[in-house]
Amino acid sequence: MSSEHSEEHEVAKVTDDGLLSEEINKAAFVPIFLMWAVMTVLGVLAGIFLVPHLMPKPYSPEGHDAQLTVQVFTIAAAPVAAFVFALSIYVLFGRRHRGDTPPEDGPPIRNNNRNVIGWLAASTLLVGFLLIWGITEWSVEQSVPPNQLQVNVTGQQWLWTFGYPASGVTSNELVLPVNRPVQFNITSVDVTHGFWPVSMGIQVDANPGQITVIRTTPNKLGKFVVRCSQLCGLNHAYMYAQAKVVSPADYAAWIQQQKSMSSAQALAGGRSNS
Amino acid sequence: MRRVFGPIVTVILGVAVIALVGLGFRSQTYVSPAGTQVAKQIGTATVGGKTVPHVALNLAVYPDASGSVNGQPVHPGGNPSWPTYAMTNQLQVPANSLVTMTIVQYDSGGSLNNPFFANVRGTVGGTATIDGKAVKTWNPNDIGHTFSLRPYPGVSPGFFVNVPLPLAGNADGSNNCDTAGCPHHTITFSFVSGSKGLYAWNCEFPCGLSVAGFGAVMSANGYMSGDLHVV
Amino acid sequence: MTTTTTAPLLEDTVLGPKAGRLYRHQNIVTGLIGGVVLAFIFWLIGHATLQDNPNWGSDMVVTVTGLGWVLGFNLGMGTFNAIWYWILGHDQTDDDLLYAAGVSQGKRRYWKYCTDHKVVGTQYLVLTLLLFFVGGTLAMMIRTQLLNPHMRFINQQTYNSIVTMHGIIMIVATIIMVSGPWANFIMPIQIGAKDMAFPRLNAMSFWVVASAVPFALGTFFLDGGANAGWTTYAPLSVQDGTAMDFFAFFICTFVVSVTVAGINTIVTILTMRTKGMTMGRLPVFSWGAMIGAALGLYAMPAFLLSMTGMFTDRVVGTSFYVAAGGGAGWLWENTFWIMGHPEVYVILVPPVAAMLEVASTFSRKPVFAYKIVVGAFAAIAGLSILVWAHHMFTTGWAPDLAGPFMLTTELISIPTGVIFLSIVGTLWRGSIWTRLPLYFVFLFVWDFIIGGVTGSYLSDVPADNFFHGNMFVTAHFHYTLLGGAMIAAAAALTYWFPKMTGRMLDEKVGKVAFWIIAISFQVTYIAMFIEGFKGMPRRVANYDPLFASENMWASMGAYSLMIGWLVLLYAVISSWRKGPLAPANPWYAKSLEWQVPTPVPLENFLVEPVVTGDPYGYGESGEAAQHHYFEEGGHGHEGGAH
Repeated sequence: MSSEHSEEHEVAKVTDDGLLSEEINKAAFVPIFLMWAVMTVLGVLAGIFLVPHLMPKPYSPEGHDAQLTVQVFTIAAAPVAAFVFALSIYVLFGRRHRGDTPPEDGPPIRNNNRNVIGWLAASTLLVGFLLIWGITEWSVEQSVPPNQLQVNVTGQQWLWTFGYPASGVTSNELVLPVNRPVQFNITSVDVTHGFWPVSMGIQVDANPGQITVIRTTPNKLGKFVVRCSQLCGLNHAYMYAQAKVVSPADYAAWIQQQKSMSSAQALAGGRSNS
Repeated sequence: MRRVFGPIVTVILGVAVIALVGLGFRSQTYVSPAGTQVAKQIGTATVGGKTVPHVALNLAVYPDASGSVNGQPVHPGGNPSWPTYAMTNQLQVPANSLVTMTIVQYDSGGSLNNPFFANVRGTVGGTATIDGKAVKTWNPNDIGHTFSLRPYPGVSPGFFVNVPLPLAGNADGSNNCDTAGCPHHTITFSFVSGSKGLYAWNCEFPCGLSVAGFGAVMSANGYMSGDLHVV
Repeated sequence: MTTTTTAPLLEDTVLGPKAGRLYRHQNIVTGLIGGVVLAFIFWLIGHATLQDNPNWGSDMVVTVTGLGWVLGFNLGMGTFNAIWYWILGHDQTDDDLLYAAGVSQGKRRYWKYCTDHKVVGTQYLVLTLLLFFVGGTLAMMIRTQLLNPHMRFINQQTYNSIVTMHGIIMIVATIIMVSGPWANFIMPIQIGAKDMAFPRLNAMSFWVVASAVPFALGTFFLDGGANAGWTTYAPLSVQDGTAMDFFAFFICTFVVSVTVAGINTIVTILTMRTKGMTMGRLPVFSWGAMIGAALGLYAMPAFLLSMTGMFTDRVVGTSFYVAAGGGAGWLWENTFWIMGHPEVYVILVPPVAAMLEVASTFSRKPVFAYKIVVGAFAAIAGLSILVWAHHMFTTGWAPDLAGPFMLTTELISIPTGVIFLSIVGTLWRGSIWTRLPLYFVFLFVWDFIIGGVTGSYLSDVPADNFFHGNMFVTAHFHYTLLGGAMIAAAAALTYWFPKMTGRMLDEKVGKVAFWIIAISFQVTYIAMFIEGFKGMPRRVANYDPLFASENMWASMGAYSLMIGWLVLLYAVISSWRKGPLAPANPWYAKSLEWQVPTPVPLENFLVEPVVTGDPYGYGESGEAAQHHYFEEGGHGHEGGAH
């Protein structure tokens, strides 16, 4: 008894050599193409218009990158998803049989090497594109500019505090001067929190016993929020801070105002030593 | 037409039931078993050139929840060995008023995890009055508890208040005492309530157990945290 | 094909009065009594001796009590009976083994420790439905709290514990939802075996996981609940109250059960196939069950490892994850996600494989690209081992590894695409027989494409810097796990329902349920995607009014979705009780499980099947296109362990 079933089968004579024989091809092509085109156009329009309408306005190049990536991935995904949808919907256009007994058997198509290789090749190309996009974008974001403003971020249950070591100021609000590169040095004094300045397209955990670093350059004036993105206990939902990007003059004025406030040894990141 | 009548009616009824259930729950409000303390009006004040109501709130912080004041348990149904704010953690003040809060702090304490919370923030004049003396900050190693308040997400414009509550207690560090004669500090401060909204407050002193002292009582609803309703 | 046999049916054997010995007196009631009694005794001992340590005393007492419950319950069920008899030198007689397989007990055998794989499969199905019901109710509470931005339906501590338990109950339920009922009930018949390779371990795996369920429910009654999310990141989980000890116990017990079941599945498929059933003729579902089980064997020990470390950090004072003692949260995150990512494929592969059987039967065509899709399952399983740190892109751990993990994660979409190729290729030009199981296949295609595509957004690090910890992630995994895996499991349920219960599922009601589920699901989770685009974080009891209308839609959709599932549950229960009796092969399918009578006899086959091809010979002619034949003479079935 041979174990290779593909040799054993006396397959009923089949006129096509795969999924798309000529007569099927013509009948199927138009409705599938129409469905695919409509769904792709909707997806592309969503990517171009809906995504930026929904996402928060970006306050930095990384924020802009994140939004652009979502748009591009939506546009790239639309034809792929639309293709699968169109094919599977088209299947329902054909004869459909109800009832308690099955219809007669369909054609015994077990494989079609051309289609399989084509499908694999297309998905590999798509994956390659997404990868190249992602890695390029990510490596651009790794550069370290000079003249960074250092901001020490401390996460604790359940509030953020921000320290400006150059000025000796600590605050519960994040204020940044526009167009100046900033480096956040983040830590936690208790459990893992997620430092998420939402509109800046960057995010990193605040880990106890570690200092994690992320960098960006705010390039837009205005207000946004810093949320906590890692469940950290009872008041996780209320752990957020107001953030503002202001002109350098306003920033200097704010620093002065903070200095005039109380003078406890407010160092971010740990207990005082006294 | 008759064939689809049944399903259509069912769908409409189903949607109606779901909508009613959802809308019914939507306006339900959590009520603390200890009730809500509504700030009492004690007069009027001038803020930014306008005359606004002046209201008062009173809180106390006890080293454990086993006692009672004037016959009322300080934390009904609570874990008697845990410290607690009292008599309730739900506070209510009118919008756009001057709120004066008085907290009597009986518990012992120690060092904060983050010394920032030893600073007074968000109060009128940037100070708090501790045992009659106006201060801007306190020693971060002598803290009993803090009152730290911030808006619920999206409440705008909101305000942030932080007041350190110094530790009380005898020279030998003991303090398991919750009546008026025991060692305590009285802290008074004022802030301006803005427009309507909900605020969440919690203590930032690690009086709990486990990691960083924020487990157990610190992570349990109703002891060291609560809400401020600005209505 | 004639199945003439003059031998009496095995299940009609008259057993001696002492057959089964201790088993005769044991069932779930004795199990519950044993569990409660031993838990109480251990609690007394623990309370007297371990309570002193002020930090960990209550954790230790809770742990010891939990141990008492699991041991006591299983002692009471009779899980360890065979071991006692072996130690005492009393081998089990044939009558004992038949009693253990449920002979002469009727319906009572479902409440007992029963080694018949069909009984175990049915028990798993009921447990799974129960777990989904509990998890679903918790979900309704979550969505009610999220109706309004500043809703105070429940306080945030309760909310966090509900979010945590909803997550873990659903994860456990989805892990067992196809490998429990169907890899136990259907797979042995499908490969021509009498039972699983290790029937006693099979029953043990069920009762052990059943004994774990009270831990999950018990967390709500201990110290404010387990509040650290289903991912129980340490050190937050180390900080949590005593309920977290029950959570860890739940998982450790569950891992024991799943490991035993996984070994059983794999050994059964490798060693107990009938004559002629080569691996190349194995039905796709059996391949999926085996690959899922193998991946589980890799992943679940990592769960046990991470939980044990968290357990000892809490109960004994080690510092694996606590920075103050030299530990790191990163250690938790790595070991957890080394389990966590392969685990979602453990969840996904068996249902998808089952769904390919459904697609083939209801389009009357072979599974398209059978060998390649099996290879794709294996590739997914293998690759899933290499992607775990995509859950850690924003943790600050090893930023240089972001690129390699992006690569491996994106690569997984290639074999996943092959699955779509196979489904669509199977359906294409088929004679579509629109019965209820096929409906779920179409819904799977729709939902899983969306789920998979949104996964690729998350695999891109700059995008993940926006989406991590955001409701977009929640919507993504609900699309893949609920819309993908659970819908495929619903296809499996509606497909194999006649074989397991002997009755036909009410298709009218089932189709109503289907449409309610299909539409409500889109409403709920598309609204959730929009929440994610706007920037709403996960696991929050209250949120910015910016997200108000999306949450309202998501909550309404969720209520409606629950109703859809309840309608399906109603169809399942009412059909099970009084539906029309089912013929042996209502779908006219070719695989072996449909060639045995319904109800399936003990040891499945009255006559040994000999397999001559794969079960997808639709549309082909000739003897070799036939899947099997039954040996003439009917002298019963050889081989297989019992």
